[in-house]
Amino acid sequence: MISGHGDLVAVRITRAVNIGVAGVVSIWHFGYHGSKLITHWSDYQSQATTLASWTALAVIDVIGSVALLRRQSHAALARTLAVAILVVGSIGTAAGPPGGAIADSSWAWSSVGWLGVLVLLRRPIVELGVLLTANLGVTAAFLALDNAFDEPMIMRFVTVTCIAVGANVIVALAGRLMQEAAQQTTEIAEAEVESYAHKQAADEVHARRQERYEYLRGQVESVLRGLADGTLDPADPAVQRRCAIEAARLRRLFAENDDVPNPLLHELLTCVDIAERRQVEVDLSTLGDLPSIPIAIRRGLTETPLAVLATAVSSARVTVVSNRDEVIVSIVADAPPDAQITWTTCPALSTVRYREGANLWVETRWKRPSPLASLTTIP
Amino acid sequence: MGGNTLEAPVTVSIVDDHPVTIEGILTWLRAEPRIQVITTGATIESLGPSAIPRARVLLLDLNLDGRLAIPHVAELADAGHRIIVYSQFTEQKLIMAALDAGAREFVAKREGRTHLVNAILAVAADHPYVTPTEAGVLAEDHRENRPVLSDRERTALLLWFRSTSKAAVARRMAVSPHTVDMFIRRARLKYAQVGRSAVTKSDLLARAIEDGLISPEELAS
Repeated sequence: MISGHGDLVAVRITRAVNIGVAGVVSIWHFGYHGSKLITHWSDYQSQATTLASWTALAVIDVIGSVALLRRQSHAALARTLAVAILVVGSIGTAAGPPGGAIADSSWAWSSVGWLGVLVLLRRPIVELGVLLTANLGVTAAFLALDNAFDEPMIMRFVTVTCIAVGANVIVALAGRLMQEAAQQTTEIAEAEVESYAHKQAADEVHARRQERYEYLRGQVESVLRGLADGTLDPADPAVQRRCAIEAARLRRLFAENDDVPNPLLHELLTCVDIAERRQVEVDLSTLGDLPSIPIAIRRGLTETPLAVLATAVSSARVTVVSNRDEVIVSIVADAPPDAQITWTTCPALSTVRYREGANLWVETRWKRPSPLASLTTIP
Repeated sequence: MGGNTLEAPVTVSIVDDHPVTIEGILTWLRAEPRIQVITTGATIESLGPSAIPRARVLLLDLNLDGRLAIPHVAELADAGHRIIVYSQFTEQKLIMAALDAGAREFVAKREGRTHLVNAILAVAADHPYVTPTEAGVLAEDHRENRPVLSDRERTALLLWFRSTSKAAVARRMAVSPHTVDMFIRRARLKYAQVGRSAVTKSDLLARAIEDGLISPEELAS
């Protein structure tokens, strides 16, 4: 369940930051500066220009908020909006009372800073720095042109701009830091997912290996031990048959790991190969397209042919019939009556055997789990 | 002519592009006194269309010089040849195509001497003979226009595909080997009835009526 966790964190934090910034800037422009416009309406030199520039910045605020919340960050759009903010803001300041660039009635210079934070939030911090510096320059220029720079005004300018720019920069930096943290969380989570996947794969390989080892230990080990300590006689045909069967099982286990288009046939062929090495003539025929078969079922389907092939004296016919309902693996071979044939214990399979003179005929049948079954069945 | 061993041996022509295969078949057939190979060739053309001697049975490799001989099968069947298609390829589609084109029977190369000899003798006598490979293909034919086989005919075909003797099939179906043979041959005849018309097909069906495998009424239906 770890997958997707990091993504979620990054997305949620980014969205929270974006909503926070868009909200703060909008409240500032619409609420605080909007109310300033109303309370100081009579102070403005040109009321129409003041209203027009405030409205233009309101529109930019909406555009910038929508772009931010939709997580669209086009460099060209952000820079164009930043320039527009500065130009419109200057017009707004020019429409104010002479020498009132940072007076109680002023709003434009402050809106320029906050809207700059909004549209440049996802841009390098330098761009916001350039805009804020330009804004300070323009504001100072207005004061200078109006000859308003007396000593108290200088003090006011320094105090007010320090607080305003400081607040702008703090919000911009905080938003940036939170996004970076979210990004890191994402990366960490991704790394976690990857290492988890590696661990899963390694565990699976280990489990398969363990399972194969357990499977072999029960069967092969006793034969090898018997041969080693002399309790099993290599000259005994029964011992030879057991060896042949275990050899076939080993080969089949190796074959199970091969990446082939048709694993069942591939595994059967390894059994056939062993029989052919013993000079048994094997005829393998298939009918119909084989479905993908789970490994436990495959092992069950090949178990009996494996054992019969390992005990066949001179000839065997192996057939695989597959249709939409069933898969049947059938073997007819001249296996001796005393041959120890192991039967599959897989519950999904059924096995039937017939003896016809020298021939043993064994069939293992797998009913395919399908809701559409029963249209045709192999007799 | 017929299956009677007292009569003249069945004449056979072999067309195969591998000399070693022809040699192998010759060796197999030489041991069978009821069969006499009269001509062999690497291509149908090498024998010449009019020069193909009237062998009773034409044994034709399905893949000649990398090309499928299906069109030749149709042509030769129309010209009245009894064709056994012989191939190492056993894809269902290919076997059906050969039978549809008018081949009397299909024998897989790996099916061995006994099936080949039996198929030649049966085809020469206008009897159906179904090899296990062909049986599987007929039983698992799911095409729209396939003939309707009875359950027991289909069962017999599929068991014949999986086994090595009709006696074993008979035991499993709890009928006599003769009955098993009848199911299999009737299934083959149903295919002969729906297949494209070929000059020699009437011989096959006439023989089936004579043998009591099908009745004239069944044939008409």
